[in-house]
Amino acid sequence: MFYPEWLRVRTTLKVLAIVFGCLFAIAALLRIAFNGQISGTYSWVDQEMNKPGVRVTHERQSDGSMRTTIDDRSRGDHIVIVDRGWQGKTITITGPDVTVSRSHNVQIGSVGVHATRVSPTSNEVQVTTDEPVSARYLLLFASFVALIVATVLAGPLAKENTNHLEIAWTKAIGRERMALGLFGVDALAMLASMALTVIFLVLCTALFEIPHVVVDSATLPVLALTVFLPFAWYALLTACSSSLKRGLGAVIGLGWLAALVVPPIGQALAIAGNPLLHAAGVALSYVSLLDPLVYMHFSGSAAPGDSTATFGDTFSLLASPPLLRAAILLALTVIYSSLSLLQWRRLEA
Amino acid sequence: MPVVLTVDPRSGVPIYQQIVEQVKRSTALGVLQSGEQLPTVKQLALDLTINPNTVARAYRDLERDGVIETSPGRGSFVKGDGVSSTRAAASDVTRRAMEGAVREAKAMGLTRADVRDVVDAVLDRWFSEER
Amino acid sequence: MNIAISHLSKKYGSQAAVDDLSVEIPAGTIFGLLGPNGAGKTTTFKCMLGLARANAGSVTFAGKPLVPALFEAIVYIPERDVLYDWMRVHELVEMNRRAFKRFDASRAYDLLKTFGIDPRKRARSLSKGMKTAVAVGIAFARQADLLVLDEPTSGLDPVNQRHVLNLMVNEAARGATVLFSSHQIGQVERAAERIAVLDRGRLVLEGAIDDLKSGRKIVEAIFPNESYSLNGIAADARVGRVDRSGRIVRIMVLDGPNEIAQKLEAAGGTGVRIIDLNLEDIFLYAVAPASATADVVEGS
Repeated sequence: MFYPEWLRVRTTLKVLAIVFGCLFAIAALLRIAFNGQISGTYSWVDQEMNKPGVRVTHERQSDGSMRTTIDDRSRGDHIVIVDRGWQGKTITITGPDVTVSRSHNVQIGSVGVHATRVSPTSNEVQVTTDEPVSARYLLLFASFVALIVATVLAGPLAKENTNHLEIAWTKAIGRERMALGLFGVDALAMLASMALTVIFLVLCTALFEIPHVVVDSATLPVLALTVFLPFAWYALLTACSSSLKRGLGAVIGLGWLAALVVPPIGQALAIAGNPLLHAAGVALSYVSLLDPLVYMHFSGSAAPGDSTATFGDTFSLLASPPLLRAAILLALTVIYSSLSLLQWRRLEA
Repeated sequence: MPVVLTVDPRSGVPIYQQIVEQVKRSTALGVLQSGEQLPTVKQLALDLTINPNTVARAYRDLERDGVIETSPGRGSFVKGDGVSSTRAAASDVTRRAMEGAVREAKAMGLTRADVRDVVDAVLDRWFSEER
Repeated sequence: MNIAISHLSKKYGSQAAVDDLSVEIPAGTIFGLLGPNGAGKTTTFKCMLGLARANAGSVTFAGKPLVPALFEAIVYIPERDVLYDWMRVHELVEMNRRAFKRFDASRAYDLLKTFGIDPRKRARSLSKGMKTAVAVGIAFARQADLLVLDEPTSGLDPVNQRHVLNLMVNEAARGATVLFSSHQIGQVERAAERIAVLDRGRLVLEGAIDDLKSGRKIVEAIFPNESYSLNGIAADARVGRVDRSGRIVRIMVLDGPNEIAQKLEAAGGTGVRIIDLNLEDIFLYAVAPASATADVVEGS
């Protein structure tokens, strides 16, 4: 019944898979090309190893890992590197040169490193390369890809309006079911593109070392947020175009432009001294609440008024927890979709 | 199926009438033998690319005029009455042709006697052995 | 299924595209809708099928109003090309196979072959005639009860036009209703049983072709001199139009030509003859009486 839309979706996902395939191939080539080299962050380890007066020992352990010890007597630094191959490295640094600031940013001499464990009493820090990655970063990237897919697939009603209504509206299902079916197919496409992206990222990571994705209690709200963002964006573009018989491209272009430009302009004007500009800024800021893109950011601590929020000063709504923002995006999706249906119901071929 | 019918849809004569005329003429000339089967309504409609109901109407008229008979499930057949029905059909066709000629003649001002003379002259020409 | 159109009206702005149209299309018949360009034929189809909203009136199918489920049994071929031009022909067939239960895909491919269409081609690479052929091939594989065809032979060469007519006759023979509009009067004359003529949104003529041809004739008479009286013949309700040219009078009769002929003779006319009209003549008289007169005189 929605076969043409399935075909469109299939083509889009095929292109996405090919792009990911190429990128993965490039990553694999890089992996092979740079096999064995220690990654850049740890070039300082190289430096240490090659300093004069430093004693370096290598011992193969019984579990197959390589234990390297670097002793810098002159400075009193002691570095132990356990290389578990694909399972990553653990580097333990002890010594007076180590200074630890908050959030585990460590200074070792002139080098800054992010540590996973710090024991200030013994001036010991531990760094692991198989650091866990929070799932939300993967989801963020997936959401971005889904936004692109949403843009490609948006406005299915407008596409029918250009010349195909005699086919779309003479099927054994009514207009509403037809529209909802198209939306459903596209929603599945967006979800599939997110899944493809996550798989791609995990596979790329796995080229270098074992992937460690952390899924915690914060993941689910972020998942909701990252899924409903492209849905809401798709629904907005569709609502703006479902009465049009041509000009879908212009709507999409202008939509992106407005969505990216209006919120910052509104914020800038809202703090202007001139009362007219201020009023305009406030008005634009309220309009920005309709823009799904403003809801996407990580306010880690999720406290209202958090400075990481873009409009934290103006709208606590935008600084609210991910789950609430996801709910707003879901509501926007439903509202925009309903507007699309209402318009299509009234349209004439 | 040696039923060769041609219809002219652009003629002012309704198509069903043309079919009726042609079937009658064919039976009179012996092209259609008695007992011979006519094509089905659907088949004739497809062959001539004309409306099936038009064919149906023609067949109904032919049946009413006693030229064909239709048995459901078996088809339509030329009625086998022998000489008399063929003759009746032939007379029918001839009279229709003559109607037009006589009307024209009258319209042009000829009298009954004038027309009679013309008819005799034509008969002499074609039926010379019966003089 | 039959179609009953009742007082259908549709305006675009202040222009009435369809004006109080009432006509019944009986089931199982082939019905031709004729009319000059802009007469309202396409608008009638759109209002009938829910593609446009009528301002007044109703349309029922077998007594019931239009619901989406009815489209299992109704197929529409619009006048303009509405195929998804990025799709291949076999994908269009597949789309119909999935959307309609009664669709017969193998018949569709047979029909497409008859029209010489390669199913692997994309719709946008087809000529106008081939696009029509694709639409026709798919539509006639739908096993529909009602076919609504807007200029189904446009762009086709004469051989394929005959194919389409044959397909229509075949559908009627299996009991379907075929409603089609065409500018080709000859095609309508062959295939249709009944017609309706629209002009500027209004119904100006309706009836069975055979009945129209039997009733509508031109009765011609010659009078002895130019000053003759028709004794009120022109007032007869069955008289459509009277043309006097010198001593010759030609009366376009709607019905009862023989009686009118007798009246003319009684009024002193000679050389009275009755001239047949074909559908084109009848149509032209209905929509453009002035131009029709000259043609008929020369044609007969």
